[in-house]
Amino acid sequence: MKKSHSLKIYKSGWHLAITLAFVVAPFLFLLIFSKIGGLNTSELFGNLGISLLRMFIAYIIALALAWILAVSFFRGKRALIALPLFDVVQSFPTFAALPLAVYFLGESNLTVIIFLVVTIIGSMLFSIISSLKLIRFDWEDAVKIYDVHGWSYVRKFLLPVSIPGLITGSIIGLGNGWQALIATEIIVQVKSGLGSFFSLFSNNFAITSFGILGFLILIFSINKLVWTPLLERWHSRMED
Amino acid sequence: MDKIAITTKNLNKSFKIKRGEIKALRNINLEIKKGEFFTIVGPSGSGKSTLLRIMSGLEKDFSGKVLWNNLTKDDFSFVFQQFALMPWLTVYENVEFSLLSKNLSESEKKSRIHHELKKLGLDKFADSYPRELSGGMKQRVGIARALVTNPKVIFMDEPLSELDSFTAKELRREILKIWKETGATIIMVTHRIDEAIEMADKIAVLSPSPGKIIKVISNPFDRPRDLRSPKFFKLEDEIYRLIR
Repeated sequence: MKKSHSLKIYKSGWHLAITLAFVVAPFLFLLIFSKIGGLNTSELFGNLGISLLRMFIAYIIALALAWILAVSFFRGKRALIALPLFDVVQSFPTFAALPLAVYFLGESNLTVIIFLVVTIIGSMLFSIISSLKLIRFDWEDAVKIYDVHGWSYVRKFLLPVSIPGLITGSIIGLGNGWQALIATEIIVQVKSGLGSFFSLFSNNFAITSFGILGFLILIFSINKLVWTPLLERWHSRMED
Repeated sequence: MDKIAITTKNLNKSFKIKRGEIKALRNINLEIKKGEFFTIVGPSGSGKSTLLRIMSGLEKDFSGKVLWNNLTKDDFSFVFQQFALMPWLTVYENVEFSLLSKNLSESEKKSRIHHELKKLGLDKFADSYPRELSGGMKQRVGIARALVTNPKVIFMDEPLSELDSFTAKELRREILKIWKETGATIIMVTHRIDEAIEMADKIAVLSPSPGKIIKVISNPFDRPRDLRSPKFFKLEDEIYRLIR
């Protein structure tokens, strides 16, 4: 019996092969770039790895928080109070508070991660809420009449309904996050990561330009590899 | 009293709108017997679906009383007008949806689901998604989902209105067959008078908004009913004149 949670998101072998090429391309580019630029390859990949790890941790935290807040506050009287509040909080100029955060939390991974969470979470929260607000009234009636509750309710209903918003929110949120990642690492002056790399070579136009290009190739690859197929897959799954 | 499944007493329902209130139902008093096929017929906006939602416990904001005689929500099932299938679940999983809160073993659930799928001709479509099905098949899934819980009362809100006439005719026969086999009480809302006469033991006729019971008619015809007899058309005309 075929399960509804199949992970097959690639249409064919060629599709998978081209997608894998997108995985290899940024790393190949960075390898060639480091050799030509006379850079320490392992240091370059190390910095990249640390930045990606910070981003990954921040994304997981933002995802969990955004989902919990969205399902808790998307309807009823709670929504009337919470949604305008979220709107105001989202508009807060977080970078203005960054020096203060450095003062209290130090030049640390924690500061970078917290700031990335704050940058990413807004888009995800509102996208998930948008998905949840599209729940049809007769689906809700089916949930009520058959008394679907607890973990079954989350797994079979709430989570699948929120996934389209989760995906689009992730794409937008991570877009903001990639921008914030380098800036935050530079301002916080952490000793590792792409921020420190760009700081070090800030006077070298060629290395900075190729570094940015490599970074863009990586982001593009992640979008093609992960988000685009997921988005297509879930949009077709939500068709009635 | 033991023969009665559901009673409504002085049931009233209003909806709040910008400039006050709209009365949807006025003084509804009904008695529905166990095992009866009961239909509620009326024009659009007469409150038929609202009445069904109140009787099934989906709508709690009303005045008056709804009495379930030795029945709980666990005894109820519902077939929806627009099927209410979850598009991300397969046919099998949609039918399973109504069993998620039941305390049954996996093997018992599986057995029940396969039994209903086979009965409704859906066994080959167990792994299909709703988007791959026709309207008639989607409603069969909705009916399977309703039956798999072995309900004592099945509420149906215009279950055939989204279907073409051929498919609707086929499903009418199917629903009557299911009703005979299960002995469940079926309470069905329809805007089609001929459908009500064809299927029901009793027909509650609702007036245009605010809906009140004009008359509850005991269907005089033996089953199977002759849909082209002069007496059938005469009753249809009578009900139409009551509503107009």
